[in-house]
Amino acid sequence: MKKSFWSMMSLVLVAAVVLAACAPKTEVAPVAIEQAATPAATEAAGGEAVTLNLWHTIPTDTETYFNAELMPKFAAAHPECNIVVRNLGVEDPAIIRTGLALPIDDSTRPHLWWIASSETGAYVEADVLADVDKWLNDNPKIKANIIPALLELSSYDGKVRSIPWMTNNTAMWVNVDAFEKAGVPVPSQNPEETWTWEEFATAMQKVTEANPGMKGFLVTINTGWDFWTFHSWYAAAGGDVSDVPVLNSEAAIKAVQLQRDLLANGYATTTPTGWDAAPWYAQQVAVMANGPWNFPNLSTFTDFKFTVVPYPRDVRPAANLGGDQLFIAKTPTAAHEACAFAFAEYILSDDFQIAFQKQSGNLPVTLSAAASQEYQAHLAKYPFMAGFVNGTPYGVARMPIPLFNEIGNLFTPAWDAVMVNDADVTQTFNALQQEVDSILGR
Amino acid sequence: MIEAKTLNKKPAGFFSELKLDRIRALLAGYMFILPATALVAVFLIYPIAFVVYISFHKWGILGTPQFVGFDNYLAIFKDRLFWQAALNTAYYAVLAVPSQIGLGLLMAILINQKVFARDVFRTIFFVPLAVSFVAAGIIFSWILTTTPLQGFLPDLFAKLGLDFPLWQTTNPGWAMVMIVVMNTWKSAGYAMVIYLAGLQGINPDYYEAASIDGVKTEWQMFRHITWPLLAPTTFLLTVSTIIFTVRGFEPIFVMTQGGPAGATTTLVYYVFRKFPNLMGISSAASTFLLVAIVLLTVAQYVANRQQEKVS
Repeated sequence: MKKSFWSMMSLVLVAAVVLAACAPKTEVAPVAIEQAATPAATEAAGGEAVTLNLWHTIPTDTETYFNAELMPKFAAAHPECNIVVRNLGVEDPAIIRTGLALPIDDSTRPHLWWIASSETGAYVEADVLADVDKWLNDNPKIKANIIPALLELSSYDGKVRSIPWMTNNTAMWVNVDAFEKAGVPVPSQNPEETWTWEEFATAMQKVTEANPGMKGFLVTINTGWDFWTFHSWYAAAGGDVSDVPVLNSEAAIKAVQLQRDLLANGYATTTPTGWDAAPWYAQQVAVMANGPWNFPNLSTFTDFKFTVVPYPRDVRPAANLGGDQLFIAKTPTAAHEACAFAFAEYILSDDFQIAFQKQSGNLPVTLSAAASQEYQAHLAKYPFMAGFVNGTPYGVARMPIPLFNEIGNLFTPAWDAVMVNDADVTQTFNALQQEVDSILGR
Repeated sequence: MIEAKTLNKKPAGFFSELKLDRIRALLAGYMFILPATALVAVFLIYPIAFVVYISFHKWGILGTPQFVGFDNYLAIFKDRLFWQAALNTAYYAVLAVPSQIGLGLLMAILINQKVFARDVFRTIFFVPLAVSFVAAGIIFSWILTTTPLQGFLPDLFAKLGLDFPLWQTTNPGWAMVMIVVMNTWKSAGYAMVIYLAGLQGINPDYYEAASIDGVKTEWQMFRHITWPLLAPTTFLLTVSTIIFTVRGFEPIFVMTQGGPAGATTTLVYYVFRKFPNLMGISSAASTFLLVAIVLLTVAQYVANRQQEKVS
């Protein structure tokens, strides 16, 4: 009995070992992906294409167009380069960092990826980026054609670290019907001539009083969105934008107090999902800050007359710059690097920029694309777009330091405490600045 | 006649054979649990050990972790948001655990009765457990939202002339209550199933004996017979529900993202917020949570043992 038991156990063990040894090796991608392509990193030798992995989170509608129309053009122009595109589904920095933690010659590592510039500091500290600054200096025409504010946004420690892919900002969506009913003039789309803070506050009061069931402005709480839009108000109030916002400065306090007063007086309402335009579409509010990526909806919206205008100006005009960058990793071979920069050159071309931005609703990153006849015709067809485009030169970007998101995480509860719990603005933001100084080691 | 010496003399190699048999038996046992142990080691022990290791380092996934000693723990203990998260976690547990267990017990008692369409009710009460937290969170957000659009329930309250708490804005204390409402709706079915098994395991003779002894009302039956006999089930459910509740993430992520004003940021959400830029701090907070849950569970076991000894 014992002998037969041990014989059986031995057989089972041997069978398990044999099965494990004979099982086909499957490459497992380091992250969950929607597309299942498994790239094979091959050297460009004897006509074989070099394979590069591009990780992105391009929204679905634009992604379909990108894959079907734009990528084949690059492939036709560069047969020596095979770019395998993967949509990560969620713009999560941790997913990309996990991929970058793989060895440089790992075939599943990302070589190109799209993400916001706020991650730049972390990549520079880990020394995973290719020398984009050198490439741009070697190609002065390409560099000179990039919108200067976006070159700043792409820089860290004095060097350009990534390539702008698309840019956007937020601006004030205005319900023109509500303004007309309140007898309030619609502000100019020229940031230098648009409404002032005082005119804005007065407009919010009049619009609220003249339109039952509607509030003037939508104040956002509870998310990083409020920190991003705060940059516009802070910069407009004269805040120092050369570094992380000084959160207990006069400009910051003034920016917070403005929206707090609107709420306290009943001329604004709050939402925990600032990017959701539903309250504005539903005419619950007359004005909200939102971006041009809503172009597909805005371009066909006819429920009421509307326009888009810049943020109110105080000491100066301002807007908040956002968007996504193309990051290029250090690559295992010169052939990989050549293909990576060929792709960078392609996305900076007028053809790509105009087509991609018209499709996505975001804004071109190059001067020639923005000034081109085709793009100008597009803007002429949709006049509201000028409210976004005109604000770009005055845009303030999020600082690309490694702990920027952490500052946002500290900002949100303080902002909410003021807007929701009636906490004292100066006291709350003084405490907030101390916390920020603490994590930055200042 | 067999001499005593001969009787008492063990055959040659007897002990060595016994030892060998014992070893074989042990080895066989270990072989059977080896696959499960390997899985536990890889997917449980190793990640926990790694988190504890990282809690003593500064790391952001890229690059090499830098040893910083207890700095991360000092940082979290000095962070007021950490203590707020700890308090919110306790608040969440205090609201959620009795709600789930209480509602589960009530549903179990109801469907343990012989009523018409009992099986249909069992299914209806159990179905929320099959719904994902994300779907449930979205549905309840839509039902309960107060700003800037009114959800179904606030709208109903308004039509009836009643006030509905503005849990997303000026009444942040109610935000956790709304999460608990969703969590209870979704999770009470689990407690119901466990209690149902417990109820059906109670010998009916106890009830007969009790009624002979003068226990008349249903409430007295429950108080003196059902509830004491369900004590082991209640203990199991309390321990497991506390653990599941304290480590819950999806309800908060979907419904409130930790707000408003940090009112629903629990320790798990705090850990999520610190990831991946401050992985050391995130890991220190995770380790703190792990130790707290283990200590709480041990305390419950000890208390239960004491109670069993007394009874």
